[in-house]
Amino acid sequence: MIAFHHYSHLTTIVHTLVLGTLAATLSMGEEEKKTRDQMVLEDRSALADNDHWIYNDLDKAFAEAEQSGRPLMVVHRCIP
Amino acid sequence: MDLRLFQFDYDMSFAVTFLHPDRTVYGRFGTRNGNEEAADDEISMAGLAAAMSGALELHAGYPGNKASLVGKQPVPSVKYPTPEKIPTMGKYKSVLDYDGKIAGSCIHCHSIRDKQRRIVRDAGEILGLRELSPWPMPLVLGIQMDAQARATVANVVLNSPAASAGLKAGDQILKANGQPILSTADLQWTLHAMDDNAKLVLDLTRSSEPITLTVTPQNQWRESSDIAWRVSTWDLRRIALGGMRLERIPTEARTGNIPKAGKMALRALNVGQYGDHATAKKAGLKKEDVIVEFNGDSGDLTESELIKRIVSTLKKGEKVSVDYLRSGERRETSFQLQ
Repeated sequence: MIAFHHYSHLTTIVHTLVLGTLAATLSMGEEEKKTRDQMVLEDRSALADNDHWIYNDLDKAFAEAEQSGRPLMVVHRCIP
Repeated sequence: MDLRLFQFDYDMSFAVTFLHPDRTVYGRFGTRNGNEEAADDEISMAGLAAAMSGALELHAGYPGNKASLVGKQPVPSVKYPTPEKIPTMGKYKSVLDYDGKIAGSCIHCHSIRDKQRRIVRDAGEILGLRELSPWPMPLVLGIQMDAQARATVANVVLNSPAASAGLKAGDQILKANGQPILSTADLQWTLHAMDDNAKLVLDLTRSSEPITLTVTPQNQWRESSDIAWRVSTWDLRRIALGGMRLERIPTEARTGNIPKAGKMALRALNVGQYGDHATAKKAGLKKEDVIVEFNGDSGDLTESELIKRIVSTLKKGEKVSVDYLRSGERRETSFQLQ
């Protein structure tokens, strides 16, 4: 789960994520396909320390949203 | 995941919830119907950006608009507060096992629905049509949404309830039954919660002019919504069809002994081979068999309609008869429902 509450950057961030996924898919080519476990770990390391996303910590997201008065966007998704 | 707060279509693999910090839900985003070739017609980055923009508008108007958001709030009376508390969920925990089998420790969202249905069936009860037809697509009323825009109509099906109401392509839906609509998922939420006999009141803008239209759904509209694409329907096939996956044969493709339009003709695309999904196989059914009568019902149903009819009227353990064609020859068998 990813919670995001800095709306001003959201469109850019989401676009970046999608393009990143597409680029990774295209560049894999003949390379060995990654396991789902590998993809989950890579996804976590890409987003866990991200300035714009809060990863798997809803309490923190609500705490920051309450402090800033900004809305939240919570994403539940499968990986990939 | 708190099921008292996050109530979305659990057959989705990508679902967004917009919230105020006080946990008031502004809206939801994330729709697909399993047609991978047409996925761009159902979900897009532009549509997400438009929904986000709408959520910001609602945030700016909050709490003055709070009354209009009441219908969008999660249903408080959920039986299990989190997925892992569902008794039939098994080994799963609230967090992933990052030191072990990571993906294997993840509760798939569709399991939330599967496992609760299993509890109902194992208790010897039937499932209701609302439970069997979750989050109906607007297409059930003849509305095809534009995935690239904010809650905007792309097409209206001829002679549909939406067409009768006067809805047109390009109309932007601002509210449905008083609820602000940001996305197709929001409209699905409205339909999901709506009573079977209720009407759908739509506040629209058409060429910048406000319009209000009332759509009167056809009889049994909830029953007619397609669930064949849903991941959670896989378990319903075990329950109702002994593990078969069926497809209605189009009228124009019905030759030989296959019944003509108006009569049942469901081809077995697949027959489960293992465990509880092999019930039909054990009863002698095979891939490519054509089901022409199911427990005395020979109506021209889709697989979705047949599953709903069975599971909403018959209980676990009841025996059903199945008439089918194999190489043009009519045969009969039976098995027990799960």
